[in-house]
Amino acid sequence: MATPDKLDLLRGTLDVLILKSLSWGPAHGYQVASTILQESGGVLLVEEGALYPALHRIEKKGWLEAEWGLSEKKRKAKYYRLTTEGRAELARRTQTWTRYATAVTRMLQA
Amino acid sequence: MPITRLRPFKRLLDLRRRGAYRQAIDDELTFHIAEKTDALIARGWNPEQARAEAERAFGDAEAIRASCREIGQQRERSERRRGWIDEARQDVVFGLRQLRRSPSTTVAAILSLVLGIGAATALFSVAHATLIQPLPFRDADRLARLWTRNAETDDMQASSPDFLDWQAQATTIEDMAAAGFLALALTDREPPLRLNIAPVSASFFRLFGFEPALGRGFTAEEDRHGGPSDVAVLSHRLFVSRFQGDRSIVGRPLDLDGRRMTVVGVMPEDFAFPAWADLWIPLAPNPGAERDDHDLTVVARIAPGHSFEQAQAELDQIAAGIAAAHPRTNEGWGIRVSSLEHWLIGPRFARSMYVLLAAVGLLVLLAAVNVANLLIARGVARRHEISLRAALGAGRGRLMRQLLTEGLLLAIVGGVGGVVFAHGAVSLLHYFEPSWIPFLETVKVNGRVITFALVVTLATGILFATVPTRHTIGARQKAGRGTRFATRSLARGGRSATGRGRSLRAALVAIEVAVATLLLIGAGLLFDTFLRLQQVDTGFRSAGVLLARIQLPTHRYSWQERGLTGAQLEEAVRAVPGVTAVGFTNASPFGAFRPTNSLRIVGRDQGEVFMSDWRAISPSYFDTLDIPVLEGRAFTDGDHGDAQPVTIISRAMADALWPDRSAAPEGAGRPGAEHHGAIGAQIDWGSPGGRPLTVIGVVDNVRDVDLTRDRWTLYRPHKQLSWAAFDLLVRSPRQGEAFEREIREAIWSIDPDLPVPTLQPLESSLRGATEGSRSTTALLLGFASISLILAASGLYGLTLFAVEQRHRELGIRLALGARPGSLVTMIVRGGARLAILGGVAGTIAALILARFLDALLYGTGGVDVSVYGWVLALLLTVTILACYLPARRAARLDPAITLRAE
Repeated sequence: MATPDKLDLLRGTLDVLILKSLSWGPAHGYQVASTILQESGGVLLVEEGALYPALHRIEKKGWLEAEWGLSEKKRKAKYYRLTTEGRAELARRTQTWTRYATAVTRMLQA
Repeated sequence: MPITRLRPFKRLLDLRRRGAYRQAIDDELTFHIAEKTDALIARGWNPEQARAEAERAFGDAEAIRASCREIGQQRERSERRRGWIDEARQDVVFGLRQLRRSPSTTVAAILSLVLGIGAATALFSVAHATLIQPLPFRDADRLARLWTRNAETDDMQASSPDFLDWQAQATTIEDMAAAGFLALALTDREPPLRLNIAPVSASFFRLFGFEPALGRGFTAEEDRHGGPSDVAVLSHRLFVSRFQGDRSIVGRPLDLDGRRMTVVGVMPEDFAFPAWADLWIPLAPNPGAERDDHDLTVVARIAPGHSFEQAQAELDQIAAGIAAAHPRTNEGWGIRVSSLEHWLIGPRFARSMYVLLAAVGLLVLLAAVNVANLLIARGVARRHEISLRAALGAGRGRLMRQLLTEGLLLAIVGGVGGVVFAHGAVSLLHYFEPSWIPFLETVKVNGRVITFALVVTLATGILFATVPTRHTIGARQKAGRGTRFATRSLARGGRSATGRGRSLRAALVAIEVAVATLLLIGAGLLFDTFLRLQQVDTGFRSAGVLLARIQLPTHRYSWQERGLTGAQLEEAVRAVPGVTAVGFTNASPFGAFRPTNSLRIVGRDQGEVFMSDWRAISPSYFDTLDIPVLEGRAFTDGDHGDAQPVTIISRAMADALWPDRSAAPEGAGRPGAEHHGAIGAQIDWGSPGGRPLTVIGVVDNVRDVDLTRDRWTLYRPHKQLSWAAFDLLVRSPRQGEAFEREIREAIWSIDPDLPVPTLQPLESSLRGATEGSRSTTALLLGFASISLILAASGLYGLTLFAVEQRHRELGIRLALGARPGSLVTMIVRGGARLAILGGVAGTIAALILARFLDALLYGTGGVDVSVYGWVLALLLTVTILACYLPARRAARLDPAITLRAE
């Protein structure tokens, strides 16, 4: 697999990526980071230093809720799951982001 | 409480261990590194390198942990708070449901709280504006009023030359100003408007910390005798009412009885001093005026760094100096410094307020006790519910909180209602403008007042919620006995005999009766005083007399003309159909003007100086008011300026100055009257020209200044002492608008430029004299009535409760053959014992506290047997009734039903 250039995340996009990655089902922190890397075609690398505070912050806002469970390797892991509010927030942010990105793209290609 | 959502429950479990999130974070991060290591191994790394790489990629683990912890901590705090709020909300919702469940108790409790807190708040708003808040002047605590005094009196005004001397010499006083009084008619349009004018010093406004809102004040030059003094400053009231707030009035001339004044300024709305002033003009005091012409109100600002005592000491010296220089007029005269506040608010008002505040404080206490009582009764009824909750695991603290919340809910509803009540009461005050409340316009329900209401509300809430709460769940639940209490109480079906509940309630009811007794006695004493004041024989007949205030312009009427015009006016009004008598005086009964003067008796020790009221009257004055001439004769038209100066004195004065009596000689006075030896005596009245006055008559005493005592009064014929301002007294069976118009027209037939205000019945001045007493009495009576109702309802509730609690016992007694009547007697006796206990305690308290009322009482001491008797009789009647009504139920019990109900 070719390794494209890794991009630094723009501020505020991490939250929406986390929400998106959890929209497919509950996951623990490591899975969230891997999912984002994979689904972005290996472009978006989430630093652990940013990931966990972001998870906790979003959990505090009530968009995520957490539960302890066992991983496939029978390790104790903290699983995050989107709440209803989180789902609504994801929809809202996706819309905003798309409009923003479309506008920027159109401008840059004009 | 149905449990609808599991999440809050889980949250509570999570929160059980404070700081649990720390371990969770460590676990989560460790897990991440382990997963990453595994992933690397899967890609072919060797385990050690994989682990090292995972940790390296992870970065500064400590920093991550720290920022996660911070978030965790915030979260824990907010959840804890949310949990608490959740519980409080549950309590409130549950509490409201409980209050709705027993509406009669709730309404009774709220009503007593609204009345108690409302009355207290309304009264506090008055006390705050008058007694607590400083006067609405700059640095009001350094403002003083200066009086002149001698051996007899200490509240005389000052003369112009004295004032000028004080002003020039005093160094402990930063500023001194004086105000006089003048009434002139504004004749710019019809009908002429009579204005109360205050001639004031140039520094007068500044002394109070005020500047004109428009234009300027007076200059020192305008305030100089003989200076350009024809300038005026308008009060805001006059500015708005007569000139519609037209700012161009400044600089325009005003016609005041033909004297042309230029308006130079308008004062702001919040400056109204003296309160009656429509207009201010420069005082321009005359240094050559008579020193015994006391006509100025002197106010002063004590210099910074000096005390009132120092100012008093300095003024004592200054007075001594003036007396030495002018012994004829100033011998024996000193100066007294008093705080402005003391003068404007008055000790009598302050005392009334303190009495009322104490009374209303007792009322609030009573309301709280009453509510506590209601809550105990309900607490007993709810014992089953509470023991059920305890059995289900509600902790003692949680139950306490629940009951306290209910209590506070009641208190808050009562408090809000109380503030609304107070607001209404203050609006009523502003509507009726009772004159006995000084600075009424500053009385408001403001932030401080609301804070006060809040404090009272919370205090009462805590008081009345704690007592029953502790009683309901308190002692029963000592450590380890909670469950036993719960089961035992449940087993009994929630019916416990609760001897404790009854004795606590009995104590509370006894307190209620005691407080009610105290208030009733206080109110009774004041009411007695009020009735006595109403019945005071004033010595004159005020019914059917109208009063018209006349002010002759001094520059248009010379000294002689004034006397003549008075007589002409009297004649003109006498010709109005229906008028049976007319007279006039320069100071009508209970009017604002109360002249007094010093006098000596010719032929006696000239060091003996006496003070008396004096009046300049027309010959028909005594007839108009039906004041009997006891000796000698009344004035006639012959007592004019060129004739011998004469005077008539009041009986009290004659009795005191000529105590030796002998049988009246033939022809002197009424047959059989005693002769005082006063007739023919000569009085040195210090009048200009120095001719002594000959006493030609003695009239009966008249209480026209102070209802509570006879004063010395000296009457002068108006032609010998003509006065430009006087009150025309018209006696007639007629009244109404047409009659008043005819009187006005009669007055204008003599001088069309005279302003005549609405005619007012003389009786209204008399009512004004007792207004303060009336209001205090009415308020205290109101408080006492409420307290009696509260105490009676407390007793009623307790008795009803006792009957219900004792159904079984009473049923057994009846079954065993007790007569229903004897059961009623037994129950009533129990209540009456409490009432008597409370009544005795209240009476003892009243005897101890009565001396605080002494200053407000007249004709009765603090220990008035009849008042105490009436109060106790009333109390006994009401309390026995309050016991008897519920006790009758005991007689109607059917033992068969009662016993089977078990």
